[in-house]
Amino acid sequence: MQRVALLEVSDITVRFGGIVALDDLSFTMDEGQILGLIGPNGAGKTTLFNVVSRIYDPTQGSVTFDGQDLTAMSAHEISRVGVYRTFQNLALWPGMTVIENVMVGDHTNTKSNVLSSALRLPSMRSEEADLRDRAWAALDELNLTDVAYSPAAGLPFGTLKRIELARALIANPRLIMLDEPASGLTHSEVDSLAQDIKDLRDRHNLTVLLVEHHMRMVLGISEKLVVLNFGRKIADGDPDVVRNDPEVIEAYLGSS
Amino acid sequence: MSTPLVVVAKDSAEHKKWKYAQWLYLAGFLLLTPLVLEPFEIGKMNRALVLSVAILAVNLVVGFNGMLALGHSAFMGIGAFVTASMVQDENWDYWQVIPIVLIVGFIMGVIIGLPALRVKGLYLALVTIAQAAVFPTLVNIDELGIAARTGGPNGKGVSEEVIAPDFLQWLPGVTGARGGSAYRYWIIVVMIGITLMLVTNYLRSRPGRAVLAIRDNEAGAAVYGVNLPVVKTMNFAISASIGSLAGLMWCLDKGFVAGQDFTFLLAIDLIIGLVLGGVGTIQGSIVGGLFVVWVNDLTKRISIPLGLYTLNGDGPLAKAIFGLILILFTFFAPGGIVSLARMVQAKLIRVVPLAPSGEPIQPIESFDPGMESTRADAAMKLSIAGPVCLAIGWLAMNINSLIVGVFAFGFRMIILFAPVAVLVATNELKAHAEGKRPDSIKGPANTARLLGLLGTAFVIVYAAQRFILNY
Ligand SMILES: Nc1ncnc2c1ncn2[C@@H]1O[C@H](COP(=O)(O)OP(=O)(O)OP(=O)(O)O)[C@@H](O)[C@H]1O
Ligand SMILES: [Mg+2]
Repeated sequence: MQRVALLEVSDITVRFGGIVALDDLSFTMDEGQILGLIGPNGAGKTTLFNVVSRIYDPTQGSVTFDGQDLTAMSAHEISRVGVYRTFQNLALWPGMTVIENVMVGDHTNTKSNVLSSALRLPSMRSEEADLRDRAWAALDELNLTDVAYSPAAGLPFGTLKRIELARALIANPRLIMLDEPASGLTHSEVDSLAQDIKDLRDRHNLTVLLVEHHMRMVLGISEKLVVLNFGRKIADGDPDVVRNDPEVIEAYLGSS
Repeated sequence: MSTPLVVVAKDSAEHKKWKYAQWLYLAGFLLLTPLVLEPFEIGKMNRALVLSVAILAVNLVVGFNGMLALGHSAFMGIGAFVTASMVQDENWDYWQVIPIVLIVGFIMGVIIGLPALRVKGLYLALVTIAQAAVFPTLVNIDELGIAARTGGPNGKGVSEEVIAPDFLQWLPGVTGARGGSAYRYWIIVVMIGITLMLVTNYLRSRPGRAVLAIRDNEAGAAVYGVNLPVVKTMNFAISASIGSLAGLMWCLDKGFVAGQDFTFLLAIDLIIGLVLGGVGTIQGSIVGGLFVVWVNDLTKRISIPLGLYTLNGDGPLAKAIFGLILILFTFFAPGGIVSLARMVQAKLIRVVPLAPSGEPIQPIESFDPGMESTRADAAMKLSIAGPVCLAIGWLAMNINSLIVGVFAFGFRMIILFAPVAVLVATNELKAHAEGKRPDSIKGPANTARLLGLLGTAFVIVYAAQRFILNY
């Protein structure tokens, strides 16, 4: 029986002036899947994230999530359907504490407004207390409670990456897109991160779109692989098959 | 890194003691101000506090939202003229005008903010500078009855006197020579208190965090569901609303408003206060307002004989001296006065937040320096510094020089830390009784406790005496 895809990227093309960052890219993702999106530097992986999270407008093509057309939405509406992401070069808010960063992660599903906040109405207070508890729980899940009340500025890169993960988790995402979560980690940390991502997927019923240069990690946890090179998809499918594809080997050998 | 002198769990009994002490000092300061200052100085204080509110408004946009908007003098002007006109022409009471001014300010904020916030950085600065520059001329327009309402180039006076009604005659300072200005001081203090509370609540919750998130990283904020234009415009409108409220307070305090009062020079004063106080801190706004007015005032009184030439703060060099102070400040305290205060505070106390379980996130004991503790010595030094500085300050006050006088005044304030010495010494003695400190700390701790208690008693008696003498 044919399953309906959760995320469907169809014919996406993105041009920046003369550069074609994405060239007619199409692929699908099933619910609950961990999909590895790989490719050499500049292949267009982050560009795809930016298209899905509506930071970039595609020149052509569409992205559908659970039957809804994401390309018709604006950036702040994407979280309402449960699509969240982390950033390759971090997009935390260094002027706030770590726990506050995580609390903003659930901005979409909380309701307190200017009036109820200024007057500290009971509804706002209980929401705030609950939000703080959940933020703590999200930090706890990633072993970050030690830094919960530190400023988000000045922590090690690997820690900041995990904070980004916690910030996305608090919102109960359906699809989470991770842009190089293992960068800045040591070898053993990468292994435990891979296990964490699998566990989180199972516990929170996530669908994970993973961009990562760390091959052992990607091959270890991905259930499907999409390979980009110069914005074009050169392979797509079962990781064990794709990794032996001559064009994929060529792209990686040729670029490194 | 040495641990601070006092480490407490948030909301613990000791933390509460600390907070009560702060409130007590604040109350003492507020109560004594209208009693010990000369009437014209109370007027200056009122002006400073009004500026503080306006700086808070600027801070909301510039400091907390990262939008370079420089035209808040115009919002103040709008609030001031609406107030003057409603009170003078329509015979409204000041307090009845408050909601009107808030709403008008909010609407103006939306009207200006919607298009202006689409542009960023220097462009936004330019648009808002234009807003500030054009405002003083707008009030002179004859059409639509504007000039009639605003008084045009002559300005508009409000004949209603703001004096304390009978049932408020018990307020410190409001009877006698200080009368009106002291009463207006109290009105302004209450209005600031309420404003600060509401703004603090706003900034420390969901909508406020969204505002900060935009400042720190717009793309991140958008991806996490923050509607950028809506939040920016809302915040700008709230800021304009508070700026207008500052205008109302200005009118209430001076009883006269004119277009020349709300030129770009005022907007610059607001920015100076913002930077000196501390960008992106609520306390910084208040400190900034006080600083701009009082330092400007002090530089005017400066007179330093330099051989043939006398450097006169009231002469052509007034602005240069003020400018020099600004430059020194940006060098030595780039984070503003609040950052200096926070550095001192960090040495004195650390408040450990609580986990959802109600336990401190790190056990308080883990901060205990154990047998090597130098806290008793620090407390002793603090308790000795108080009276010594007090004595030096007293002697120096007799030297007839403004600069020395200002420093002497500041010096004497060290005595205010006496209760800290008592608290630390008591903690150390307790730790000693539990066997966690060597016997050698007993001497310094006892000295610190004794001197600290004397110092505290002195502060209380001195304040009470000033209060009773002047009341
Ligand atoms: N905003 C932009 N303006 C112009 N060119 C861009 C922009 N964003 C990306 N590009 C270009 O698009 C191409 C793809 O970039 P992208 O960041 O998506 O690569 P990537 O696969 O994420 O690479 P990496 O592994 O290094 O992160 C690159 O050539 C890049 O220079
Ligand atoms: Mg990338």
